[in-house]
Amino acid sequence: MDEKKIINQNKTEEPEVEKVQWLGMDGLLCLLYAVLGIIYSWGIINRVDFVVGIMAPVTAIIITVSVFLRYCFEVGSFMKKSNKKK
Amino acid sequence: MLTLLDNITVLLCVVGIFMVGKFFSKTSQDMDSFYQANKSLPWSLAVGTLAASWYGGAGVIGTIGYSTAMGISAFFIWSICAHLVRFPLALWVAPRISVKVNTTMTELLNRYYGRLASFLGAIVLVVSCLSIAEIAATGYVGVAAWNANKFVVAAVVVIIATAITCLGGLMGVAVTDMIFFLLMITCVASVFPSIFFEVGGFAGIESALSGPAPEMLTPLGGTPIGRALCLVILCINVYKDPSFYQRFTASNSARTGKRAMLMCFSIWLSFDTVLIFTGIILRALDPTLAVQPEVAYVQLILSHLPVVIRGLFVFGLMGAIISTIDSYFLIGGEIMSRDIIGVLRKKPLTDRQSINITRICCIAFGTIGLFTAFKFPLVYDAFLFINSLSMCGLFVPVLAAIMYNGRKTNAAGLASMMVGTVSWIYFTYFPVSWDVLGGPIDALLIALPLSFAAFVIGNRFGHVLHDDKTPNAIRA
Repeated sequence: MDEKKIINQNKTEEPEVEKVQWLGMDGLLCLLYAVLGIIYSWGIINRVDFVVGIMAPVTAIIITVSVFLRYCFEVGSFMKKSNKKK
Repeated sequence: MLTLLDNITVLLCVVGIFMVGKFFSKTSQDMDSFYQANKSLPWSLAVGTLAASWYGGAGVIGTIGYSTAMGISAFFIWSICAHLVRFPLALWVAPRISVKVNTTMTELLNRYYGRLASFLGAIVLVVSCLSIAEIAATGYVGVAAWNANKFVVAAVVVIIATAITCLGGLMGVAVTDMIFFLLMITCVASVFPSIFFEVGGFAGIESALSGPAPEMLTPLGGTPIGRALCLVILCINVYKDPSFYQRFTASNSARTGKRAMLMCFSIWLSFDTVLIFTGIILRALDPTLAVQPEVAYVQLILSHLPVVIRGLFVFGLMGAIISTIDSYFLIGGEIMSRDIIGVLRKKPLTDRQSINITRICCIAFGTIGLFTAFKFPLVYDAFLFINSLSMCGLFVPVLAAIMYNGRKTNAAGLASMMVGTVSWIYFTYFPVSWDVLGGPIDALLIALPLSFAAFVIGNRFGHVLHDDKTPNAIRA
């Protein structure tokens, strides 16, 4: 096998690094951070009780519980699949 | 203080966590499953384990501590700006870690810069995985919750963390992290509104602090802009944090690791706001800080939670510390087994030998951490010294290996490690001062550019051990 062929073969083996999807989920998650950052900063500078006293803790709880439920759902569907296989 | 019911709740939770570890011990029989969970972490689990490992003792207890002194500037400097500095890690570095890093950071160093660079990196990383600061943080929770001896509480925590790591490997650690993550954030965040409105919201905080500490309510808290910028730049230390590398490598795809970290930024921002304002409220309630803020924080939260939930909170808070400790023990054990003992042996280690060495290392790390965390201030200082040192030595070569596809020689890697390390030591003991940056410049800010310059110069010498464009051809 000549050198060119080896190089081409190796290039196809190297997995490509995915680009950032600014208009997809990546962009949305960045936007979420930016929006939350702006709202919290505005709330702190303007001394808005609701933003710090209610919004920040409720947002933390909602995201955390959603992530946990998503995990439970994934485990549940995985167990269903393995039970069906048996 | 916790009641009998709270303590029973904590005990039941501990038993439950052990059962999780035991369950995953059956599935972690080879190296891939033990260290990297077969590269199968789903998005949800990656978010949970990243978030829980981040908020260890230094994360929760530490945030409370510095927000009682920094006030709302802690939010603007640490939460907003510092996370912005970390965005490139999630967007561009994390996907490349998933593709390029096969096992550990030191394996990456070995591939590009050779055995010596890898060996030096491994030693520094193992020391930084001892988690001495985290073990010390358990003392605050133990004093507040049970009025117990710091050492006894830390010993129990270390035993639990070691057992989880030894039994379940990364999957066991990740699943328990998810449980700790849920308990800690929901308990702390749910009690916050009542604490905030009890002191009268912003009006109450302002009236309490306007006399003794008015600077706490300004965005920069009296910190010069140059100094604030330096603090933000220092937050790039996570770019060489081995726990992030392990999570990104173990995720089921490059996209999963990236999106898990992007999700974490919003969680951290919201939770930081809660923690920072809890710290400010503590200062408003006790302007002279007569009681240690970290202990006062745990007592304040406990006084606002009902029975059983108090037990869950203490378990979640201890769990946050445990999840950080077990993550670092696992990484340290893996590096010790694969990159130090494995490299020194002529015959390669079998999967079983490697896992057993990791388990023994975890027990050794726990014992060393326990006996050094409280008793020897000099050892603790040495630990901090090596931890900071690792940043200067590893940041440039590791990032170059991941992000730069061009020519990289072994001389470049070694030169940047050596120059970064030596210059950091020099400028730590002979600091340079610049008024624009608010006084003495952190040695890191000088050592990193010098390390980069050494990499560029060193790249003209030495050998290319691995070429990204034709990886197998070079190795052959």
